[in-house]
Amino acid sequence: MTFLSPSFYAFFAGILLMLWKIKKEKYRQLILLFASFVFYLMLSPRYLLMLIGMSVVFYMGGILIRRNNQKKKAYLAVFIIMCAGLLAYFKYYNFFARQVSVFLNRPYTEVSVLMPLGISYYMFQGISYLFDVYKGVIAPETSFVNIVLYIAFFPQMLSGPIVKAKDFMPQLYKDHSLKKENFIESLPLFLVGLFKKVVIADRIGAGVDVVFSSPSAYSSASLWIAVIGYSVQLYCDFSGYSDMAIAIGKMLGYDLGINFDIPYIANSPSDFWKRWHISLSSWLKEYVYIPLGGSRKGEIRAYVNLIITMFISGVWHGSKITFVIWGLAYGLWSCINRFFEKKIYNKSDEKIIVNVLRRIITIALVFLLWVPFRTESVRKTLVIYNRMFVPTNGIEYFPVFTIIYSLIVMALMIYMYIKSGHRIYFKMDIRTFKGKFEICLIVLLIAMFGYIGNGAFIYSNF
Amino acid sequence: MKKQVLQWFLAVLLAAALMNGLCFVYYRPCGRLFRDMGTTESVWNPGSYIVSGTEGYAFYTADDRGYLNENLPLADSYVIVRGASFTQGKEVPYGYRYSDICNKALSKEEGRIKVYNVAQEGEYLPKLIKGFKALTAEFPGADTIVLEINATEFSAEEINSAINQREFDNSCTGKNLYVNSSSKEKMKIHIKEALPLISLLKYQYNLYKEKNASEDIAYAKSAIDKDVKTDSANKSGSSEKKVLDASGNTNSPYEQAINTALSLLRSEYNGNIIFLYHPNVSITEDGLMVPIKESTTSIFKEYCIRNNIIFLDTTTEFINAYNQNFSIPYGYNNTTPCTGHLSKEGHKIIAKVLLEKLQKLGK
Repeated sequence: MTFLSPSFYAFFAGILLMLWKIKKEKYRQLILLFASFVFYLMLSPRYLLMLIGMSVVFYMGGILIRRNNQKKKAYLAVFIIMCAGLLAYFKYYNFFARQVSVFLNRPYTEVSVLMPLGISYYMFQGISYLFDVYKGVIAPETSFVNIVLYIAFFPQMLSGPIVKAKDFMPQLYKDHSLKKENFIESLPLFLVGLFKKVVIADRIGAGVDVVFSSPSAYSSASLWIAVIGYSVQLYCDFSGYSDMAIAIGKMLGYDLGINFDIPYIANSPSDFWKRWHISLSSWLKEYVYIPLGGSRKGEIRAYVNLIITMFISGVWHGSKITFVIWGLAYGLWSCINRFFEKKIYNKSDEKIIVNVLRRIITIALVFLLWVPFRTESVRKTLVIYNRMFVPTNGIEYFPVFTIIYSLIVMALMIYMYIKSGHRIYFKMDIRTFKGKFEICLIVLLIAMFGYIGNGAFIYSNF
Repeated sequence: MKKQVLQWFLAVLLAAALMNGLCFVYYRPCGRLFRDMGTTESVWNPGSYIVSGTEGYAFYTADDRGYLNENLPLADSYVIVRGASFTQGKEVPYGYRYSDICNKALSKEEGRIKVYNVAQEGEYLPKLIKGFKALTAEFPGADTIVLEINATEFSAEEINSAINQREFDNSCTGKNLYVNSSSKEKMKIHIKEALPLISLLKYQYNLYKEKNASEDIAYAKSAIDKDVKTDSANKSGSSEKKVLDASGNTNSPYEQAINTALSLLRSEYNGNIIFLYHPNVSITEDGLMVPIKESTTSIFKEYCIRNNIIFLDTTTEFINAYNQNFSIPYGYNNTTPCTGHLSKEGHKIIAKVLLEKLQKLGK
């Protein structure tokens, strides 16, 4: 059951009905908790106990950190190592075991380690809780139900957004009675998210997959289009999921923040990370970069911290060496950019043409860096780069939907940037005839042009 | 409340009308007339047009017989190409199908069709056999019949059931079928043609159902995979009963069924019968094109030869075309390479192979 399956809509309607009937906030939370467990059970039944177990760990961790003021640093370290260790086991066991075998020149048989769904997201949320309690930003939670609900909240459990504890926990003490305004505001966001995923991302994805599976067969131009297509697919897939998760959260009365803000108009890597997967990048900034010293401990240390942070970002995405390369490349690029901005470039008297050029270069590099992110091996990454930059003959595949959708997405981003500098949310007020008509139109467009094929969310793999 | 309901009703209606208009240039199937007697199980509503934009893009009008050809009389002697959706070829523009290319090359009489396309989607080998007798009756002037196939792997039961062939009756041609159909049936056809949006939504829903079914099958397969593997060692060979033919050779039920079917076709028609086989292909990680092989193709070919039926295989031409200029026989720019139906290139390659053969046969 995902946001795309019909069973989810029946499930969600059932929850809304129950929440509507029940007036007491305490019971509403229990219903949400129960719903989150059901949602998880439908997807990954064998790891539900682990999810509850980890909630116990975070619950105990919060209390222990707060109660033992002198040893709180040690407790925090122990709990973080425990979480990171578990995450590393599930994500990287085979990767490391294989490297050791290669080093020792011994044959290696892959061990079946099935990763619990959403582990990367709820572990980071748990760590955020422990950190926030440690810093005294929030008090340790006394209600176990609240902790489990924070960890397992079904709209964002599988692919984020990663909501920080300090942003989510206080919301648990507010009233969450269902409000008409929340629905009116959220429905268009949900539909736009669904449209981005089903119509754009999945359709582009079908064309991208064939090219990335056999890059040696395709011409240079086809590979360029596939790389641009993948960049748009990834954005629409993940931001589509985020939109749906945020909208569902909002319907239930919870604010999950924003996760994307027209990322493909960024003018530097740091600007890009303020606009792409905002919940992860702000998590990394707050719980990795700043604790490491950020830029407070000198320039050299700031560069090192940037590389470490981006390395962790790469590693978080998966156990492939290409993710490490991708993360390190971002780290290096961020350092160069920082040096450039600090020592050479004066932003204050930037001309429009320079500004535009910077954005084009940034986006070109972002798109090119998605290649190692998408490929399974370094060899394939190099094949693609080689064929992209050295004109090569091959299958000429110019997928029309990729071209049309990419142009529309980029044009919309430029429009929004010129208009406000940020993402503009489509407003469809279902109280008016126009709003109703727009809702009907988007639903029909999804039904007519939705791609029926592989509909898995890319980021649920991480 | 009443106002809100009315607004929703109007909004749905307006949005549907707008999208329905769009469908007229994106996806517009025409009405289908089903029949008990005739080569194919159904024909298109004569004179109405099809727009196919979900895979490739093309526009076709059904002729008086209900097939997709120019509405022209047939030449005195002509070639029939009979097949499923690959032959029907409504994903490429008119003039690019292999039947159109061959017709253009062989046609000597202005305004008359030399190579006529008789195809209906979903009609594969068993249905080609089943409709063969009716085909010879429906097109008595055909001096060559080309049967296009993309797969030879069918169960013996499917082939055997096709031996009980369809007959042809003159009342079952497209035009006659339409004239004789009831007002209710006519209304259904016209509604379908006026509301292509419903057809598109139905098409999408069927794709969704198929996808779910194939996922379920894949899941079930993986679940029982271990059991099958452990059992297979004990059972191998037992499922395929071997029988002896008249000459004492060992034949499988498939071989027997194919032999019976092909000899039946041969006995029913004196002209040239050509089986035109075009395999599916895939691209390997290293960028090579390889045919997706079926274990039955060589057997099928052997029985064609035994029954004096020509077996034309385009595998080599597909591979050569790819090696020479990266031509892909299947897929379009609005789908993916090597999937779905024949592309313009695929039709072109097949036309070249078929044309050479037809010319050798003196057409």
